[in-house]
Amino acid sequence: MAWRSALSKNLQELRVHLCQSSKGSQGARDFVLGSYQELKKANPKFPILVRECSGVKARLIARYDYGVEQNVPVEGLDKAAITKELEKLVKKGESMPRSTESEGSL
Amino acid sequence: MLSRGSKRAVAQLQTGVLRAFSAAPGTVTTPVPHEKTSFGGLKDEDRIFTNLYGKHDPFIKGAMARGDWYRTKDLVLKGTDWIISEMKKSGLRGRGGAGFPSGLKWSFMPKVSDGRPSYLVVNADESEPGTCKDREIMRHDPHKLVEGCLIAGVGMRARAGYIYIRGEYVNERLALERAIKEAYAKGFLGRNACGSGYDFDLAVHYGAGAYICGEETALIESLEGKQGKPRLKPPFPANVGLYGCPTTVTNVETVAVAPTILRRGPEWFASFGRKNNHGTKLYCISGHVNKPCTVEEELSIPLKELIERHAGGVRGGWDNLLAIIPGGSSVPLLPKRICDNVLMDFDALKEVQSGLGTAAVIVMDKSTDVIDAIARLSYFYKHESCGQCTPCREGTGWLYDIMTRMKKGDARLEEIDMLWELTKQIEGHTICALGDAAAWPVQGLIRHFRPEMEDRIGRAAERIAA
Amino acid sequence: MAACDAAGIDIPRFCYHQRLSIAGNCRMCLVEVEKSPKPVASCAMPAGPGMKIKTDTPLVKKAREGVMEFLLINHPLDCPICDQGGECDLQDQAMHFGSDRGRFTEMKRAVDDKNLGPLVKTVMTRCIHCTRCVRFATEIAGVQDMGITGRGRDSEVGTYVDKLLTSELSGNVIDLCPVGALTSKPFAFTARNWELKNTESVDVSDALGANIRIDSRGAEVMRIVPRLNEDVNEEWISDKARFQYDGLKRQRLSVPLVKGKDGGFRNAHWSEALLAIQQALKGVKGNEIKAIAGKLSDAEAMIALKDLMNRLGSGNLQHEAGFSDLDADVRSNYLMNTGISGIEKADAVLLIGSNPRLESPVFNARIRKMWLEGVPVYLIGSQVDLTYAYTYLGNSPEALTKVLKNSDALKRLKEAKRPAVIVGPGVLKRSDRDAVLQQVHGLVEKAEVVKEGWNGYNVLHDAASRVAALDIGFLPSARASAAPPAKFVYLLGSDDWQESDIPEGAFVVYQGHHGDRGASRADVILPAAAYTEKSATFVNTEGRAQRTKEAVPKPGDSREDWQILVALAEVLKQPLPYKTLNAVRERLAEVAPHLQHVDEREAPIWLNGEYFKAFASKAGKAAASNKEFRSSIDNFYMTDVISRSSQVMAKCVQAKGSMRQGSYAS
Repeated sequence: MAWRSALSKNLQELRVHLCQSSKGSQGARDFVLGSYQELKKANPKFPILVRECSGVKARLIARYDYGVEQNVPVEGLDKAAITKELEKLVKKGESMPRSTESEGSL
Repeated sequence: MLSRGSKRAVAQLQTGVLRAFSAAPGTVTTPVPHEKTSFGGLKDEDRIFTNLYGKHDPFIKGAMARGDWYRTKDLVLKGTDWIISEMKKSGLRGRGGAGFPSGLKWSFMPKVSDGRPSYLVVNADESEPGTCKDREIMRHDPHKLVEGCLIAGVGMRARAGYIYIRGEYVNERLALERAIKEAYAKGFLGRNACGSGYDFDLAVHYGAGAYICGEETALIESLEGKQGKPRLKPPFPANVGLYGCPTTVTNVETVAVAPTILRRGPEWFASFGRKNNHGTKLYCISGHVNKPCTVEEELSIPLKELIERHAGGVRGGWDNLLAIIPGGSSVPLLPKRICDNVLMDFDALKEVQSGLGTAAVIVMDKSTDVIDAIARLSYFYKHESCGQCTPCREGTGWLYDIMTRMKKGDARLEEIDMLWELTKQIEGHTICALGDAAAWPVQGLIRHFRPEMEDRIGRAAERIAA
Repeated sequence: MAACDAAGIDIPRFCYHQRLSIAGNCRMCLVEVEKSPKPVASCAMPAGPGMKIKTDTPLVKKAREGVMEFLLINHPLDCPICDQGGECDLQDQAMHFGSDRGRFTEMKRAVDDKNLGPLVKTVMTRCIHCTRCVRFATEIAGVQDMGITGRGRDSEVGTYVDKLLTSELSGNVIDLCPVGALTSKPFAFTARNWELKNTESVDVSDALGANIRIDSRGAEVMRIVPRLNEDVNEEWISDKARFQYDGLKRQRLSVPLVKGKDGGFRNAHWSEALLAIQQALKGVKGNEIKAIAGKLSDAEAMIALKDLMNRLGSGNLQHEAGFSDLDADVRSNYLMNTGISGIEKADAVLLIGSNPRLESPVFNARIRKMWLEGVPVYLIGSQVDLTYAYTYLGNSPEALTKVLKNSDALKRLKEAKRPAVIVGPGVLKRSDRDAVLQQVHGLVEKAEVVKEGWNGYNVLHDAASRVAALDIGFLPSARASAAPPAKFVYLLGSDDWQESDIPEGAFVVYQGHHGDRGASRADVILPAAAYTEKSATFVNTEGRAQRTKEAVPKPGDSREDWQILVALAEVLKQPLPYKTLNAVRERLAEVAPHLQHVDEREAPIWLNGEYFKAFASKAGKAAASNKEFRSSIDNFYMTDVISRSSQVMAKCVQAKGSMRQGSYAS
């Protein structure tokens, strides 16, 4: 899927917040376990920061240029839904203003 | 078949011949020996240590002629339980000073090993002032000890024995080492000792001049190569001893009499001494007597008879006696009026607030400055304190300092009571018994010779005032 | 004694200590037990069911008074000149349990003082021979230096052979000694404990995050002592943590400095300095700006700097000293996953490229504790004295390859129920790190280091700020390596950057608290607060966020790091969305939520091999060179800017001078 390799083109950083054991984060856990490797393969230098913390609600946070961040709650969503959300974030990045941080090759 | 009674008579007629014993343990009920009322006057045929004065060959040839190593294999084959029950029946109490029933003590060793070997350790660190009995055993009759080690080792299911001898006893160590070598050469020790199938090794280790290493746990520490500082009990050595393995530490004399007891029968041994104080003992008589000596006598012998019969009496006659320390410097002294009647055994001496200890009798006649004597003993304890626990480390020094002043009378009367209180503060509050041993002589002095102390203080005060 | 303590009954003691073996030699804890003829040492006697223990009978009272009397007869009358006064166990217990008068009229004994080094002051006449220091040195610190010589009243505690106490934990005997025999030499005669204000804080001299208590008087830190935290540092801190505080008073930056045309610095106001920075940034493209964080940077400062950098258009963030491209994606890849106290549950340990004795002495003591219980330790790294025996497997990636090929060590790790692997900075700072890490990953999988209910993969860091930096993502962004050479470099307390990091002619701003290498290269210097002067978040090597607390005021005109960055952002017309400390912390939680869960350790998620696969595809097939593993620490006493400014640390280096060449150096 092409959008996966666009991840590093359109975003600067992706953060995944999830709880280690709650039901609401089950989707996020599945997502990380299932998709991390392929996302990383497509975007080897791109930081995908997985940050677990007990009791926290699952979120996806995309950092674009100029420090702009988009915070998407994914609590209760399953892996597929979360992947969809990620795709939306990637798509959004296409039109975000670009700074010099995006200059240069990956 | 000769009857039991006549068998015994035959045995008593023949010196050096041992009676046969039945092979099955515990089948014979012992006839109760008649209650004795008078003690002393041990006959030669009843002596265990027949070469105490070294008149005969101490080593293997002489030993075997005296009856050592005779059918030891059979004794070993009788097995641990038989040995222990015989020792219990004999009523033997530890000869190292504490007087704990030996059969009971040996029975504390584990019956089944949990993977750790058991060890026998013989305490030949004879440092108690006044005591010189183990020395005689080791240089004149070492094979009694060596055979005793084997028997005791079997009695404890020990894999090996270590004899810890004080470093100052050089000749005694050489004699002992030679005896052990002879025993190994004859196959009495080592693998398949005496052909019985039991493996037993014996080694000698010597100390470096510390009285505290006579304390059983300090001895074990010293054997292990560490500083000779006593351990806390519990855990007791029978649980955690040498190298963490079950160990029993016994005195030389206790171990050395074991084979003879087994051969001649515990009833014979129990026929000496009063109830609960059975057997014979080596007494070391020193001090102001005409013939200081080491002698083997029956327990419960009257003190007066012991000194008059064997040591030639007190210098200048019995009435010249001031005080006697009956069991080595660690027990309180007894003034003459008690010495007139007291019997030499564990219980009788305990009743008069002293103790049998090692049976080292130190005689002091009226020419003695008894306060000076006790002060010198206090110095000994101060010097020998290991320094681990607070009351002994600080207290023994303080006791000595006060005693030196008491010697000169440079004190106040209240300080005698303070001295008593200090000894009570040390006694019972220490890790090992050295604290008690330091406290008791001073307590004995105050208990029996307070007028003397007060007198000295008074006279010193007068001198200052004058 | 533990039973009585649990019941809330106070039993006096000198020689007993919870973490040391039982000595039973002070005799102060004697209690009366029914059916026992003599009083019994409660520290040594195991409590049995049905035991009746009496602690307030006349017998016990007399025993305590007696022992106290004996302790005091040879104890010198030093209270007025003794540093321990006011916090002395002997004083306290004498008041509570002793009698009210002395009757000793003889001469007291005196003992020679021993030279234990520049840290521990000894007045051995005060020693009561409790042997706590001996047992600590032997059991916990693992150096067989101290012992008792002599017998009876003449016994002396010391090193006998004029030796220094060579352990990095040697300062802890100062806390242990119940009297003033062993005291802190730098602290000697400077303050009484009742005039000090106590602040609970966290140490930053290594990545352990040891809990400390800062004792200060006015504006000065007088001393640092450990705080109890069973999970992190128990009751110990390293000598560096304890004694480097005198460096806080030297070489301090307290006024903003701007370099003039002649190359010399002149004092400036804050506004001047910030404007100078704004001036320097004119014409500099976003991606020509670089930021380097230092060892002691706190999380608040780093997030502020990262946000500022991103707004300026730069993703060129790195952590100093060559670890800049450490992967921060999955926490379990860069944390001590067993937890610091959890390592004690392991039953086999393999150290790779780590010298824990230098990197974290308190953690090393935990490994030693495990070794004493019989846990085997294997080492791939420099063969140095770690205070415990280990099986040496070699010192290069070759050794690692050998282990992987069916060695005894591998077998032992596989058999173990809870094997642990500890990867140290010796691996992380290598140029061929990724290749070595791939081998380590292979080992982790082959030896089943991670299993159900147990994750034995551990990383030991050597800097207090590193884990926080990784947690918030203070790393080069994806295109940073393709950025043009930097024209503007912002050093956030960084003094150990590599020469290649700062191009010749770049404009450098140094924000920090000490004038060291960073400041000398800088064009503008902004004075910031040290760890004792701010409330800041640090994350230790097991991922536990901890906060320091402000103990003393900041010197001169310095400000807190995040405040400086917020002000700078405003001047640069890229304002940051937070103005208060709480707001910064909320921002931190937005980035990494566990940073709000202070003092708790979050269990990291393990990606079950997914991570390893991703790593392998990123790292490629580079081969590991055969260079030896070298520790990142050359000199234990001089690792960061505070310890380098400390005179006490310098004295330690001098004292250990010849020893460094021995088995000590890595």
